[in-house]
Amino acid sequence: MQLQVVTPQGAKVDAKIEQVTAPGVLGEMSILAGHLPLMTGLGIGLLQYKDSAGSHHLAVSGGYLEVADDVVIVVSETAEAPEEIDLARAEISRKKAEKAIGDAEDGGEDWQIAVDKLARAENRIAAGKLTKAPVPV
Amino acid sequence: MPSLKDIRKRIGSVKNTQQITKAMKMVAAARLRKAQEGIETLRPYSYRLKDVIAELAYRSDFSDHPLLEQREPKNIEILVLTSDRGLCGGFNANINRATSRYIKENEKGHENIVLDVVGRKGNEYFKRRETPIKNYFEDIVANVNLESASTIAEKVMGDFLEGELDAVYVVYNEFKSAITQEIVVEQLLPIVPASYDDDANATDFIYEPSKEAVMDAVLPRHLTVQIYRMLLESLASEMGARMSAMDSATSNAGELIDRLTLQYNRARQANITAELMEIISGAEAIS
Repeated sequence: MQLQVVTPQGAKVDAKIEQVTAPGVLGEMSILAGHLPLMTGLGIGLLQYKDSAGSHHLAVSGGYLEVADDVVIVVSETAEAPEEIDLARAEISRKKAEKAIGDAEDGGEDWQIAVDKLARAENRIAAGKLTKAPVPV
Repeated sequence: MPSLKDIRKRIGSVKNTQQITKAMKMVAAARLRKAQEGIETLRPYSYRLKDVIAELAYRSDFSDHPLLEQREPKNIEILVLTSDRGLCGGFNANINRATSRYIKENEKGHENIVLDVVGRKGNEYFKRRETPIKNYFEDIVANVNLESASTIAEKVMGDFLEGELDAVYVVYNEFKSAITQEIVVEQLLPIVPASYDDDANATDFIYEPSKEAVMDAVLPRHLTVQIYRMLLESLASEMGARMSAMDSATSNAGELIDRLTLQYNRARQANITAELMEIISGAEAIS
């Protein structure tokens, strides 16, 4: 099975994989070879995939996932590997988002933006703390 | 006849100008490369989005999605991408003129035409003209990124969905090469899905949670990415235009320096000759 991850920063992954777990809008889903054609939106969360070298992680936010002919295509706004994540910066943006949530009117537009920001920052922090090297299976 | 000192001064000042134009050319070249890289890295992403929209539109009757809805174009908006700074040849003049021409050619078919402007130069030009400026997006050209593109996208999308606008077009410079740019007019809204060539293995997809939800996730992104790409193209074109403008300015300055140097040498020679004549005639008078 082939996995392709594309972001506005360019193609991130193009690899032969065995399994991929993605944060779908309806909850986490795992996809194995031979999956039926599928199209779904992605939420904010961790994308995990296994190849012959082991398991890898990417922090993704938004976008969609498509499965067709044993090719999984992930189109996301961001896709960062743990080693790419600057934890200090993520921490700063988490604090900023928390403050913005406090300042904004509950349920308003600004509030929603801040909540999304917080989710993204927390996701990046979680991903950044993961083991940097692929875990052998 | 200017004095030797005057000519020397002018040569000095032209040399200074030449240095500045040379530096500007170099800066433009560097920023052009950066913009080009941005276009390159964005390409796979924007192609994927385009494909999936074509696919989705092909597989289902999606003309009823609000962003694809074709209405009678009564109120249209034209988004013009210009630059903040001058000294880039005819870049801004060309795009402003092309936009005016486009408005004149099409004003009959629509009830109302308004403008959205990116770039200070476009704002300066259009605020003194008939067509009203609806939005002027400041500080976009200086930091072209996905975020600035999405502020524009959200604004036009909101107006379109509320029915304030029936169609949105963009006039911008498409980047061909460092020396050529082409002004193009593209329809931004309603989104026109690319044609999808039906391959034999037309499979039925499972949509989670639904086709509409996937469309909802994909279409606004597509719009933002389109605007981002156009902004990058316009930026690359601006830098290309500035590069060639500054290149010819540098060589013009070189020519001017050559001419002035010749003039300077002639004047100096004339001075020496005059002095010699005086000495010789003085010596002759004594003997």
